[in-house]
This record gives sequence, C-alpha cells and structure tokens, in this order.
Amino acid sequence: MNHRAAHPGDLRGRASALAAFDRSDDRRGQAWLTSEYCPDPEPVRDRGPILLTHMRFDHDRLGLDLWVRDRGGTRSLSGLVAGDTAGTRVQVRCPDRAYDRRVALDGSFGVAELAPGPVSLVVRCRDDASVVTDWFTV
Amino acid sequence: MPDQPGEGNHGTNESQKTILSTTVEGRTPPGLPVPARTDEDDATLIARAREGDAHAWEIIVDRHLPMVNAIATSYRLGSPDREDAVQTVWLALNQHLPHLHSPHHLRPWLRRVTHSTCVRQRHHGLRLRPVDPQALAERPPGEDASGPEHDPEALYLRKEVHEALHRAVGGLTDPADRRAARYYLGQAPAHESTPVERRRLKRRLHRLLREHR
Repeated sequence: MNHRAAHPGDLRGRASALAAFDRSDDRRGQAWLTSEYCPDPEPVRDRGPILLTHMRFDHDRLGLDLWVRDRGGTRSLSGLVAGDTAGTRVQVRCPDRAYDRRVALDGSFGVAELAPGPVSLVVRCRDDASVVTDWFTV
Repeated sequence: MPDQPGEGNHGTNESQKTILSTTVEGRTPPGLPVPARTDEDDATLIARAREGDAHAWEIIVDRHLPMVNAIATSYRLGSPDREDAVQTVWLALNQHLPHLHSPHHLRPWLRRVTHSTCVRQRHHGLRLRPVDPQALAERPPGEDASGPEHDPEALYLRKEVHEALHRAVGGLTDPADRRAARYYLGQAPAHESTPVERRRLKRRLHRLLREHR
C-alpha cells in the first residue's frame, strides 16, 4: 500500500517542483549517464577554471563527453559530441533559460557563465532526431 | 529557481475527487501552499501524469515533497544547494516518468535519487570553498591561503618527487627489493605490516642501502 494521506509538511520548493512537469521530452531519446569522474583538486599555476567533473552520456551511436568547470562562482560547460556532428546543435537547458549552440566540425561546443543549478542538454541532430541527457547539478 | 511560497496552489477542486487538506482546526494558514490529497496510489497517479495530467503531478509532489525535503535537509547543504538538489530530483522524476519500471515503488525511487543528488551536491560544495574577499586582499602576494605547503610550486615538486620515486621503485628487478622500497616510502600493503615482516623488510632495506653506498 503505497498511498498515504498528504500532510502539510515541509513543502519548500513546491513551486519549482510543480514547474518541473513537462511532457515535451517524452518522445526524445534518453542519453544515460555512463560514467562520471570528479578529479581531485590539482594545483594550478594560474587562476584558471577548476575542473569539477567530467561526465559521459551515451545513446545508441551518440556519445557526449561533458566537462564542468568553475570560474569565480559561475560554471562553464565544454562538451564533445562523438558521431556524425554535421549540422548538430546542442541546447543547454536550465530551469529558467536555455542556451543554443552549434556543434563545431570537431564535435566541440561550450557554454560559459552558467549559474549553478540543474542543467540538462538536448542534442539535436540534422535529421531532427533529438536526445536529452539526465538532469544534473552544476 | 527560488521557491515562491504562496504559489503553486493549482487546480484543487471538489469535482476532481480531491479535497484540500486542512490544519487541525480545519483551516489552512493563509499564504501557505495547500497540499492536494487523494486516495489514489502512486502507480495510478504516475499513469495519469504520463498522459499529461498536471493535477496528478501536483498530488505526487504534495505527497512526497516533505520526504525529499527531509532527506535534503539532513545533508546540511546550504540553502541554494539544497534547493538545487530538490529541484533536480523533481526534474529527474519528470524526465524518467515514462521509463519507471515500478511506479508503485515511487517513494523508494525518490529516496534513492534524492540521496544521490545530495551526495553529488555536497561533493561539489566541498571542492569549492568560499573565501572571504577581504582575507584575500589582506594576504601578502605569493602566499597561498592554506600556507606555504600548499603553494602550487611546492605541490608540483612534491608530486614530481613522488612520481620519480615510484618510477625508481618500479625499476627494481627483485620483488623483495620493491617491497622494501615501498616499506621505506611508507606505502607497504597491510599484510606486510606484521612485526616479523617489518623486521625482514628493514634488514632488506639496510642491505640495499649498503650495496648502493
């Protein structure tokens, strides 16, 4: 028996939880997180961005490597799409905005100065097929 | 996305077989979100939500949000990190709704995802330590916040020495010599830390040092 009466408990975040409801991704392919690597902090000679994590998402023949870096409190994403990348676009989605990027011929793309928070990516191939990644926090 | 108390009181009415929950006195405090209540089980609600029923989603949120919040609070994350983690959980549920194999096990699924999201959030938080800008401004040039031992130059040199030592140890042909060298470096495996083994390694080490003197 898994139904239980709702109770007026801690409902912080209710508005954003309700806003998360969106069925537009249901027909898209799902790229699953297949590996994640959080390197130990390394000393750096300059004050460059710190690599927070490297993630790999896979869906069929599409592979997506993603590096998340921190620079002064904001995040930057750089990615590499493996496979046929001609005409491919990537949309980096936050709950309140989205950034469209064209994937370069070598499969690379990047977004800088992202606010920390949940992020998901949509990879749109030339044949209109699109793949979404899991949501993750940056 | 910041939480907005008072919002989100969507679509609850009597005709939809749901009733508003009330406080003990039978009234809802003004300005607080009103959780929707139903006797439908999670599997039924998920089936409805998969078909685009936003009201079913609202009931799911109201039923399980307190648990998600309780888990997130237990990780003692800062307020923005906690909000991000909770929001990520619901975004993940929305995305995985069509793929859930056991919708009647929604609560354990949410519990597991909340824990993993919070662990990840905490891990990121540990790597990024806030520094008081005033303290940075007052620090003498060239001095690292954690002291000279954390100076990038010193850390690089230490890393290079460590790698050079390991290369040298790896070049020793006799396995017993390699074990003795690892013991000298303080990196002997646990099973080689018995007193007898330690004495044997020390003798081996002394012999090695005599030979290479």
